[in-house]
Amino acid sequence: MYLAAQPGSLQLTQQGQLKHFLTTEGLPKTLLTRILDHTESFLGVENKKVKNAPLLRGKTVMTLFFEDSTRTRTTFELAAQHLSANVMNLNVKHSATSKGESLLDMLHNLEAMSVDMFIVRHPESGAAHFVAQQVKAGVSVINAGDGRHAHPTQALLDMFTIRKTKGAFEPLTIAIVGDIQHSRVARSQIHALNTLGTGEVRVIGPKTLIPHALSQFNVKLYHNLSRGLKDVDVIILLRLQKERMSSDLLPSKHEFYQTYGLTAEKLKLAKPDAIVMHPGPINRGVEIASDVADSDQSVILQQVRYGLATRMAILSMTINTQDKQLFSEEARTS
Amino acid sequence: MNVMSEHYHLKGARLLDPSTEQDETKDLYIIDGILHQTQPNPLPKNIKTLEVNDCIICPGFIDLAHHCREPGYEHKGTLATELYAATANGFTQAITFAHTNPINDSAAITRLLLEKSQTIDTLKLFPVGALTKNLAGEQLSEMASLKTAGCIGVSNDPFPLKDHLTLLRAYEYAYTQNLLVFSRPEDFALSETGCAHDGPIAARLGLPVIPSCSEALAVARDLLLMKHTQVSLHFSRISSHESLELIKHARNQGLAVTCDVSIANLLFTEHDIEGFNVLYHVRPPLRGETDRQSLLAGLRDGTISAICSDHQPHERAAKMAPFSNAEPGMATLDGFLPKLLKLSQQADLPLNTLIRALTTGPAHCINQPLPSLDHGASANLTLFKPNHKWSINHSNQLSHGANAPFLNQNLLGKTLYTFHQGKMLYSHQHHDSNCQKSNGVRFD
Repeated sequence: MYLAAQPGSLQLTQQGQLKHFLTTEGLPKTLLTRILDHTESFLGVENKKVKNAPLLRGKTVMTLFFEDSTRTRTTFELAAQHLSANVMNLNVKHSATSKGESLLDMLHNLEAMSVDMFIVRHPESGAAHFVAQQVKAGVSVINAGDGRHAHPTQALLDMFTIRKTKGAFEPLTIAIVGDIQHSRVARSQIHALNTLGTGEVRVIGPKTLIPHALSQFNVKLYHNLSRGLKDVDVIILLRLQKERMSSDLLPSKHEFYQTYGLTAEKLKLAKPDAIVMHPGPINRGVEIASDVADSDQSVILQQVRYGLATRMAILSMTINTQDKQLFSEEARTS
Repeated sequence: MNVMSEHYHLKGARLLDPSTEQDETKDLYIIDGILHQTQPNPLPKNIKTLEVNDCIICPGFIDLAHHCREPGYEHKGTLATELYAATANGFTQAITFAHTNPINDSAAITRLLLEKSQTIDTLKLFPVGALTKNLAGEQLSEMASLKTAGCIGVSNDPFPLKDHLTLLRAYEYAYTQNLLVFSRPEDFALSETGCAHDGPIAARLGLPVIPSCSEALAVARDLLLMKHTQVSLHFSRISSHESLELIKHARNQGLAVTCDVSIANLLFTEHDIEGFNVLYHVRPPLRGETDRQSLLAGLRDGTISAICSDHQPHERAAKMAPFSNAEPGMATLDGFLPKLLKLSQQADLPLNTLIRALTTGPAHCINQPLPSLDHGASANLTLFKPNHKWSINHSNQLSHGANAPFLNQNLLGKTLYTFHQGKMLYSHQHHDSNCQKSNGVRFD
């Protein structure tokens, strides 16, 4: 009754098309590449006179955010609007769940309003999977971040940024620095980077911020930043949450900056043309020195720009799959 | 119907009795609730003969971790439904923990449980009272009253204590009352927010973890406190290799500590939670294959005395949530026996060892007389057919739990009858015909 499908089969149709977009884990390289190619076609939409494409016309997209977010939510909303969808935002903090309604009851009530796609952010790992298992056939779920588990659209926009700047993944050495343990972004990036054939993926951080069992990640672990950065092509910094800066995980943000903060000097250890990435929002003087964040090697603002196109690509690929699938089911039964 | 006056001739079964090491095919008689290994003379006229070739008769099983949902959580399962499911797996005695609503921290709740279980004419229930008031870990419970009312021991399951001083005092007081402490070892700080084993699966799924060292640390602590206070202690539901090593070492040093393992930790591993499968969200969490193999080895070498069901029925809604928000626990009773019989074959766990872990092993842990098929013993026994093919679905499921893991599978081995003090508590014929009547579903 509760036997959950494996992530791959839950988010893909039998033909291998996206039904939901929940995690980068288990998605084939061809599909990830197709998303990146598709993103390319949406690039620069914000500069066009007529921004909207009719791909989601008549569809209702609902953002369902159980955690605070400004950037991700706005980008999703804009992406859906550019695709001509009707967009609704539910501020869950002021909704019925605060009155004790369960996530499931809330979902069924919202479904009754004929929503075609839910974009979900939730503090618990697996929440997006749970929602995807419960919605009616034909309704899509996009994971906008669940607990520590996955943030696949962020990972895809990062992959797009890397491909756009560096070309092929195979010759690259990529280092992810900081709080891996609590990062859904890092998990999604690692799966995507490995699937896309990255030469070497490194993770760098103190033991308190690294998962105890890293064996399934196919990464090289470094506790020393200088060693870990040697000759890398891409440096991805992760945001350190404020509540973790001075806690039983780290003594202080000062010490974190001293040991794991990316300064101009440390950046020199990487290849001369290495790029610096960060999912944002950045903590200057904690994960990254101000001058590095604003340097030519930083692609942080490009990431933000590519975020819109990536989400347009994913939204349109997912909802169109659902349309095709429903149509073929109707054809079979009629 | 006065069941006590019924007499039975159990014909042609294999008798397997760990208490006497008997293992032979022999007729057994139940006359006025007493076992006879030779034919009584004269035979009562109304004796019923049950042809039970190809069956095995064992002393009634003892469950060291059942979780009664009554009072307070009847929507998950009642005493009548869940204890009947237990008898259908051969259990004639069961421990139940204090986590009811209200919590069993008073003589009144203990008496309520015992009286209710007696009115429904079921197995012998042994309540375990709360170690601390309201299981809150702050104030000692009224252990003397709990004992007088019928509690066999005390436990703070499912909430680990935060404060070592309170724990020390609680153990001292339990010793004073000569009450057995059931410890489900878990260090509060290392487990508080966790819901899965600290292994590769949880790391990938991004789930908060309960590391093995959380359990081992609590085992080490409790062993030291046990030495210090001289309290009698039993570890309930050990799940990790490290814990087992500590217990083995303590026993080698002469400490009279015992432990059990749940069926879930014997059958499943962390890999079963893949895809955020909430059915396998249990506490202690499902650990690695190395841990599972160590638990099986612990059963073989006798470090682990008993296998318990850790039966925790839930309504559907309790599990319909993201993994860490879903309530932990599994309704293991439907299919319990056939799953263990299969494990016995697959994991090189001799049938004798398995039966010992369900009979004399648990009896020894709770200082109860060893259940026996001996001539003159009270007729507490179970009779099962090891090669009976069947399956469980919603129409013949006995527990009310919506979280049953063994449904719709091909099972081999089925309890046919369970007797307690000469009364037939469970008969497969009675159950089968009820299923056919109520559901119109054929049951074979």
